[in-house]
Amino acid sequence: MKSNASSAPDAVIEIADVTRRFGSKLALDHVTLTIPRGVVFGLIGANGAGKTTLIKHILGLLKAQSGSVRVFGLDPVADPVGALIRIGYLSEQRDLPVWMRVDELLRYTQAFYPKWDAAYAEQLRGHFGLDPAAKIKNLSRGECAKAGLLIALAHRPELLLLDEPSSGLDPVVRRDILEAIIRTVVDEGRTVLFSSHLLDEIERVSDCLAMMVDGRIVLNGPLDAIKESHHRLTLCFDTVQSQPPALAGALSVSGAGREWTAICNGALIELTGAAVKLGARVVDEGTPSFDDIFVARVRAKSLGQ
Amino acid sequence: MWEIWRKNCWGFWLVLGLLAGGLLIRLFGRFSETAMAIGGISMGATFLVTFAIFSFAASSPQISFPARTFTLPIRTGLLVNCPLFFGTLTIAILHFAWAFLFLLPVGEHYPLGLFTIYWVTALMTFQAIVWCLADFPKSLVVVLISAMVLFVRLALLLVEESEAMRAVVYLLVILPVAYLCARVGIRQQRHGQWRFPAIAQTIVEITGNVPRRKRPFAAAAQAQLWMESRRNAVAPLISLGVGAALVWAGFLHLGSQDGLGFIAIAWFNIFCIFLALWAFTSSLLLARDAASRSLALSSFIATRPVTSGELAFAKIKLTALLTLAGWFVYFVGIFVWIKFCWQPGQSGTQREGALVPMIGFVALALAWQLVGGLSVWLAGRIESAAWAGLLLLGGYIALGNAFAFLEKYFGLLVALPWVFAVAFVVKMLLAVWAFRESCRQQLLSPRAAGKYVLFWLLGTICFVAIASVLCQGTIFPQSLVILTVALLLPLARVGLAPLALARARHR
Repeated sequence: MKSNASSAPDAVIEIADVTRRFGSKLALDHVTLTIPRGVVFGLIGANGAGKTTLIKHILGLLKAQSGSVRVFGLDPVADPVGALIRIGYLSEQRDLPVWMRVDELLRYTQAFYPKWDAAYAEQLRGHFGLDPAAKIKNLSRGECAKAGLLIALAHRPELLLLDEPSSGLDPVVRRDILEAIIRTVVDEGRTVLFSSHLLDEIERVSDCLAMMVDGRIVLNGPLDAIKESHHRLTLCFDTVQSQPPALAGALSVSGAGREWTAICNGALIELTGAAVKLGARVVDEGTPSFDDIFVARVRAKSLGQ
Repeated sequence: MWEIWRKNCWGFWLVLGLLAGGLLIRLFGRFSETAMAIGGISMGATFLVTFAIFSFAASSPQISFPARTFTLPIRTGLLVNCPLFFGTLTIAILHFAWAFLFLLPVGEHYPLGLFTIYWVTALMTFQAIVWCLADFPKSLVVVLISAMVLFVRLALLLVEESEAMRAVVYLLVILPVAYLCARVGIRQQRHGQWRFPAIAQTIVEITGNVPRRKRPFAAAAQAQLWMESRRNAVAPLISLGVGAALVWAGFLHLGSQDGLGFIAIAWFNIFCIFLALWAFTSSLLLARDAASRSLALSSFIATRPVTSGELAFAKIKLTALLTLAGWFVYFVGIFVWIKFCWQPGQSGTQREGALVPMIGFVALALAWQLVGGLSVWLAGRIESAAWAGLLLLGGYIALGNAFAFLEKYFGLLVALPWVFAVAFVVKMLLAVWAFRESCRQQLLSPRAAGKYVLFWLLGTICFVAIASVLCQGTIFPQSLVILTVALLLPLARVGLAPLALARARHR
């Protein structure tokens, strides 16, 4: 599924038909994506699906081999200053300069951002419980993530990019901090794009999401619409089926004998009609969890559906 | 042993290859000067590689005895003895091999047995130091340098017949101490009991608290310069000071009364080679990412909202500082050397002959390797380091041959101004392209480019004036002096640096 890149006048990020190869590996395969202003946008996918590569294109750290990337209408490679000054970025790598102290890191980062809010930075530092005299190398993994988040937020960026922000944070801190900050940013009309493979996290905070599988965007849209368009059908056959039934619209089918469960994408009436044509009765219908949708999509892609 | 072999098989093959090369030189070279020089370099390289292999060190996150081996169900003694024993065996075999290839046929009274003890002790000491001080990198560097000086001194004692036995006694004391240190150190690390002694801990705490930035930065460029200087410039400056001090302490100890004799000339050559190696490694150290310390640009630095030109210029400013420091140390070195070596009665030609090639070599090394190297390293490709090293070596050899050719057929002083004039035109063309491209890609503002060109112009005029005064009355023509100075001050290389960094930043 692809979004319409040219239809959003208030788009913060516009990615059009971007392809990227690393040697023989195709990391991004004709990716098109538009992210409007003021939403929390979740980017999900398995490890190696291309999430970080896509984020690096948005930051201008990778140059699109074909297609185009625009952030606030700017090319982040041609005009890195114009784009980066409006972006707050938390890297998956947590590659902060380990030799600096927390207060030195704040002073250093402050020099790059004219809109740095020193009072807000101090408030966040206190909230995160970071000792200003502590060296980054002596911080725990969670504290390191908080320090990275602090410098990504303190200049009140228009776009916050979080690459796997939850890695390194314990569940309690993860829930509290991420929700509070993401909501704060969105309340102020700012945009958040964050990648994760933790689906519950995405489900809890995102307005929209895109799912990546093997460098392609296979699902993209508002969260509610995605949930509404997917169904779990339990089919019952009169006779034992030796093969999984070939139900039109099914992403994955599991079961054995007479009873099979299918995760499907499409209108419920059409799916029910297709099941009847196969000689089955729909004995149960429900909304699948994101886990089910994700696994079904990944399997469907790997089977070439 | 399998692990050491599997992890370092390239090193073993390299050692074997160099030994094979040594054998060929031995068979066909008949101890000519060139054959001996190549054999000497190969021998040194094999010993260095063997030391590296048997340091048996994991390099991530820092060099240390691999902590994962601590969970293996074997005794600490076996864990330590294995690399110690095989290292000892390998270095002894290697030493015997080189001894039979070169050392015994050349040196009539080469003390084979004594030097075997020497190499075994040296390796074991090296292993003990690397393993025991793994968590303390600064102490590691200091102790390693001290050990190196000690072993150079011991080697000199071994070749003097009257002092050899004293050196052997020292070695026989050091050997068991090194072994015990290695064993105790690894045992302590395995049980998590390895920590600083209280006094050292206090010193670390004091030094750790002193250099802390309290004031905010006025601009992004200032912040970046602070970061680069804190992270990347300190080590080159310290190594320059310590290295030069060691070289000159050795000179004053051994060769200061030599006049312009063999030891004095050799020592000055060592000093020049030290500066050349320092320039090479310093450019590499400076080019590293200030956050991650790797050659590739980290996303932390790459996402700073400044142009690649501003990121590159922080490094270029520090390069200029290091170049000045290099020249300062060099001129102090010349002063010391002249004071002790130039004696009344020596001819001007003898003096010029001793000095000028070295000045030229150091000038090339400092100017080319520091700034030129930076333009290569900033591209962020780790493999470019090896290629650049090879190219540089090839360049020096080609330059030496070209000079010899010109001297033979045209006369060096007649031909050089023409060669330098062509090089100057190439430099100017490259500089125009580099600055135009940097401005076009908005890596540099035209104002910043103009400012640097003006700086280069003024600097060149000043240096030309100084060089002209210094070279007055010498055999060097004025045109050669002007062109040399114009070539040495970097222009094209400075223009290329932002382009290289931008390439690393937007892959």
